[in-house]
Amino acid sequence: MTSRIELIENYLNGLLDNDSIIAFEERMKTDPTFNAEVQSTKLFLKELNAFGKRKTIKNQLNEFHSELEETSSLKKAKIFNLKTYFKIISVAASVAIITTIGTFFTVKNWNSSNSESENYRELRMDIAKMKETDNKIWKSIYDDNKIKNPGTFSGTGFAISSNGFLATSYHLIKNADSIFIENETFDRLKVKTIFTDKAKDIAILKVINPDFQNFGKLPYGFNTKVKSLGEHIFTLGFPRENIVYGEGYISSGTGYEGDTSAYQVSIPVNPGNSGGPLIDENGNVVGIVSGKHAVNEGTAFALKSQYLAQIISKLKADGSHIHINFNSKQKKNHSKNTVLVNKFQKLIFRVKVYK
Amino acid sequence: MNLYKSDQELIEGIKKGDNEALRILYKQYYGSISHFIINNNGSYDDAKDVYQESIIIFYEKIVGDVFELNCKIGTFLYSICRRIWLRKLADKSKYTGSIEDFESFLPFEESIEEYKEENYTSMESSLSSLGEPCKTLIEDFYINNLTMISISEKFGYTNADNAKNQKYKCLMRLKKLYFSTNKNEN
Repeated sequence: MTSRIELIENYLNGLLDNDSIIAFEERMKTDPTFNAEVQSTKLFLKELNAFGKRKTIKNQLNEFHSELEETSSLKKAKIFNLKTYFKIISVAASVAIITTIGTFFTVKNWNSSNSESENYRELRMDIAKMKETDNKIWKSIYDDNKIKNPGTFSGTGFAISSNGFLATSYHLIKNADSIFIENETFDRLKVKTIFTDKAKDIAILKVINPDFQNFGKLPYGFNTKVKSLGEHIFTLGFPRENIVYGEGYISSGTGYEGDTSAYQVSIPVNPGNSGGPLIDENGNVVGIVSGKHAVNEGTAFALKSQYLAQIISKLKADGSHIHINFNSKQKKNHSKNTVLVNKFQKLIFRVKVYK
Repeated sequence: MNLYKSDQELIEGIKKGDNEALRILYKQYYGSISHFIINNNGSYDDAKDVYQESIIIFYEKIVGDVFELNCKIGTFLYSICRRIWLRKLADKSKYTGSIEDFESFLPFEESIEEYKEENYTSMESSLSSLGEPCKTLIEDFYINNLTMISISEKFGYTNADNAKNQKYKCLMRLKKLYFSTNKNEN
């Protein structure tokens, strides 16, 4: 003899034959108690099935999680509750801070002139050097004597918002008297420094030409997630008078001497590439080129774009009218880099610094 | 190296029930979410719970009938986790008034939380108060999807019919338990 609940379950699962279905539905109509039982069973079985599914997934996720724990170094032990250790930490931190500051000044006094490490080479370009090679071009372009002074240093910068904000490297514009940006599309625009961060080697500029409208819609997005090793990237910059494309990949998640705020990238860069954007294959800015290893060829460094994002949110909080959308884009049709490059180069500028 | 290059492919894979796709998804975004939780007053376990909850929501959305993802998976998950975590912080009254964000997120309306945590917990407690062998029997049939034949072998019933009768007895009891606990809560 089949029990009522079995009958109901079979009905709900569509396991009854036609005659039984008719009888069943007839009974539902005539017998309200029976009908109520069918409804409650239906709800209950639905919940039970949902529960079952969720439980299965949870088990699976737990399995993935333990795999994750095995492969990576994330272990419970590593994360401790800050509150418990607050006192100890604060004492340790003060000692550490005093020591660090003390050491910093001592060392700084020792080699006062140059704070850069010997193996790190910033990529700003000394115009005098470049002048010889590009002299002919200079003459032909600026024959009308529009510009007499070619500037002291030059590098690269790129638009980060349509209303005139740009990002570049700090070392490029430090101690600048005046700064101009130029490219084929926008010609020459005067900019001022809005923000600098020496440690991260980043500066934010803003166009101050009175007749400047805007850059138009930015063709690239920003990806603030840390990119994985081996990811293909490219950069556009001005190591010479014309824009130059360079292609490579992310070779390490940390920069010079383990700097976690930067990537190491394997990409050909030269003086003048500083401040250029590092762009992934989807057309998202993932970093800013800052320097290269002085000895190892093909080893360059770039600041991760999450620091750019942090700075921008800081600027926003301080009241700068910076319109920037930190959404990363996803390339739909796998458009080639050449297509991306054509779109991007309008918003990449040669930054000229006068001292 | 990676079978699933785009978000879309990943979603299709999960829809098809490919375990590997779910695995890739799970591993891909855990880092950034745990970073967010731990930097906002959370523990390692909090990070795991919140993240798993968000993955389940996401999973149930995509295997459900109508769901269209208008942003990157990462943004979606981050946004759900952010929301869940804010709620949990508020419950624990640990919320300090500011939250440190690491990514862009979607300002979800209430529409996203169709995750019925209460149903889940009341089913779980009903099951555990059901006692053995009913609990295992029900779990084997409804959760682990074992057949009646293998269940009757496992439990030593003489035939599948006996096992089936036992299953329905258990099911009746569970139903009663479930509705009584559920009603008490409401």
